[in-house]
This record gives sequence, C-alpha cells and structure tokens, in this order.
Amino acid sequence: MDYGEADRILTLLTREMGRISARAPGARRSQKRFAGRLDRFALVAVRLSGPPHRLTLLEAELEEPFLGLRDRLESSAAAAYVVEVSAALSPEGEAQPRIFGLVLEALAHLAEADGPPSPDLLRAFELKALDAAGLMPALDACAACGGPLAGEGIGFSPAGGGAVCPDHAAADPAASPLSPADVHHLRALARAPLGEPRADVGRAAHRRQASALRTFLDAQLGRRPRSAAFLEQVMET
Amino acid sequence: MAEADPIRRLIHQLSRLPGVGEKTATRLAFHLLRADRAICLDLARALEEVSAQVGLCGRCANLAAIDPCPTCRDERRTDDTICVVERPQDQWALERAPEYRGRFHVLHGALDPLSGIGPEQLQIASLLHRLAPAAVREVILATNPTVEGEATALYLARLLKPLGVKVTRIAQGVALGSEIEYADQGTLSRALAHRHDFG
Repeated sequence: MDYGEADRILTLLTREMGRISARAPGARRSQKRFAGRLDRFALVAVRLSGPPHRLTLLEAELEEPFLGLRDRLESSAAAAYVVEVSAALSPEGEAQPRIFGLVLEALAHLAEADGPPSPDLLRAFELKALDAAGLMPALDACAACGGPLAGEGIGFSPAGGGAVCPDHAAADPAASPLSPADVHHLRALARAPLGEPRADVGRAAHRRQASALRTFLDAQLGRRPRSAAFLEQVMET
Repeated sequence: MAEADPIRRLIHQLSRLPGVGEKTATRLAFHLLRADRAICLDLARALEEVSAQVGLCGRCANLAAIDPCPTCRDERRTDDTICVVERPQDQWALERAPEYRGRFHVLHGALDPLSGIGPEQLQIASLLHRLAPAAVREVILATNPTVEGEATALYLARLLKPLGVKVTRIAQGVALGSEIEYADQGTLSRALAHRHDFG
C-alpha cells in the first residue's frame, strides 16, 4: 500500500514476529533502495527498527525470489492463495513459525513444479495451515459424536468442526458431502509431508474434497479469500 | 466535511493526490498563492478540461481527449502489432522508443488476486475485440516485470495464443548503464535465463 510522499506500507509474514506491517521509506521514489527486493512471494532478510506498531524497514536482502512462480499462471495464482490464507491465519504480531515454514515449503513446491499444482498440494496446504493455526478439522471420528466415519452420507461440517457421521451430516444442511475414501485421503494428506506424491483419486473426488475443505476454511476465516476465485478460474482452464 | 477556508481546502485537495503528503500539499498551495494569478487560473482551467474532456479511447483504452486517440489515428503506425501495457504512463514511456511503430493497448492495471483484481477489472475484453478482424499478427506483452505483471502476461498469452496471433514478451535483465555487481539476484537470474546468441 502506498503511503505519504514516497513510502510504502508492507505486510510481511515473518518467522520471529508473525504477520507485521512495516513502512518502507522511499520505496516508491528510489529505484535503488529496495529495487527488486520487495516484490511479492519472495523470501527476504530484513532489518527493522522502531516499536512493534511503527516498524520501519531499514534494509532488505533478497534470499529466495521463487522465480518459478512467474513462469506458470497456476503457480502464481496458487502462491497468492497460499500467502493470503497464511496471512489470514496469522494474528498480527504473534510468531507462527509453523505457518511461516509451511508458506516457504508451499512456495518452493509451486516454484519448482513442472506443471500446474496438484489439487493434493493445495488440500495438504489447507489442512496443515489449519492445523498450525489450531483449527484442524476432525478427520478420525465424527466431530459431533465421536462415532465412526463410515458408510454413505458422511459430511464435512464447517460449524461441526470437520467430518461428521451420516446422522449428523443429515442434520446439518451446510455439511458438504464426502465419502469415507475422501476422509481417508484428507487424513493421509494432513499427515504426509507437503507435496508427497499420492495415487490419483480422480477428478470427482478432488472436486468434493476441494469444495468441503474450502467451505470449512472460509468459515474459519469468516470470509472467502479474495485470491480463491482467480485460482479456481485458472485451475479449470 | 468540506473545509470552509479556501487555503485549507486547497491543501486538503492537493494532499489527496498520490505521492503528495500534507507537507508537500502545503508547500504547493503557498507556492500557488504567491505565484502569478494567471498560473492559478491556468491550472484550474487545465484541471477542469481534463475532467470534462478526457476519457478512454474506444480502440486502445488509453486516456485521451479525442476518440480515437492520436496514437490510434496516427497513419504512420502499423496495425499488425499491438503492444500491451498496464498504465497510460507506460505507453508514454514506450513511445520514447522510436523503434516501435505499432499500436498500443492499455489494460489499466494488472492481475492482482490478493487485491481482488481479476481479468474482468482490466481492459482485456476490448483487447480481444481488437484482434477479431485478424489484422494483428503480433501482440507484445509489455506489462511490468513484477509478480502481478508476469501473471497478467501469462494470462494474456493463454488467451491470445489459441487465436493464432504471435505473442511476445519484452526482454528482462540488467538495465543499460548499470553495474552487474549491484544487480539483485532476481534480475541476474532472469538475465541469465533469457541470454541470447551474440556476436
């Protein structure tokens, strides 16, 4: 965001301080001071000064530009989604080292990928981000009654806190339909390292899982991430 | 609430301009107050004329007082190439390069999913409309080498290539007259990735 005569207000996701805002003096006027180092989706080592609510950027050194994100539209759109969700799940000024590490890992996967990001990578990111923020949906047993997640009619309930048994899914009109295999797949994604290849579950299953998890995530954030619509658009074309 | 004092109102209005803080607005306001009255009136007239007369060119979407704009009317320019830029000022900058004698198209921004700016907010439909008569053989994507500019170029390339038009991207790398020692990592990586045969 532009600020004053020549400055810029940056939103930074940091390892030590979580999400912070800092003023970059002269960032708009000077072509040299921070040139090429304040672009989005880059890992930058920064030196800041001032109190936490009025930080000023003194130096920025580019450590990893994740240039591969600029070569593929789907990767760039997914990077925007990863960054927006991570920022939304990071309270201002509170260190979230797991989310910070997850963002770096996700951006590296997206930048190095030869093709569009797999739906599994995006679902695994969403699950791990929710977990890191203490909002992990129930996947082992019904979130409402603790019963088994088996049979037809399982659902994924934003209000209920995750996967719910057929009885509780039927009672919740906002629950998204899932199969036991979908729940098993999401559980595996949540536990495996990010980006670990998995057997393809098919387009229909990917759509169900994406819809269920995004609805859950939107409910936790209290809004739909602005970058989600563009990501969905480019992933479908 | 509107300021009653005209001096304060002038300072307030000037400080709404991008890159102008209250200090600069105050300095500009007192400069105008000390200046010849004709300067103030000329400025007021120019602002009024810009506001009343300038709109989007129906062809290239650039800002102009006439439609089509002077660049689109220029018969010395060729119709077979369109250079796509983000902002009108980018077109002005590129017009300083005398080698290019084709047409332009102004998007009025770049794709920015984080700010909720998608293809619908940009002048993309009007660009596609211009390609329909098939007189255009090449589209040069001259969006900025930022994350948003690159995403916009990738998006446009995806739309344009199936139409059979040649799509090119402006070169990226070390700036003329600069020193490699002081170039950032991203610029150097791009310069090496896009190196070309020489000599």
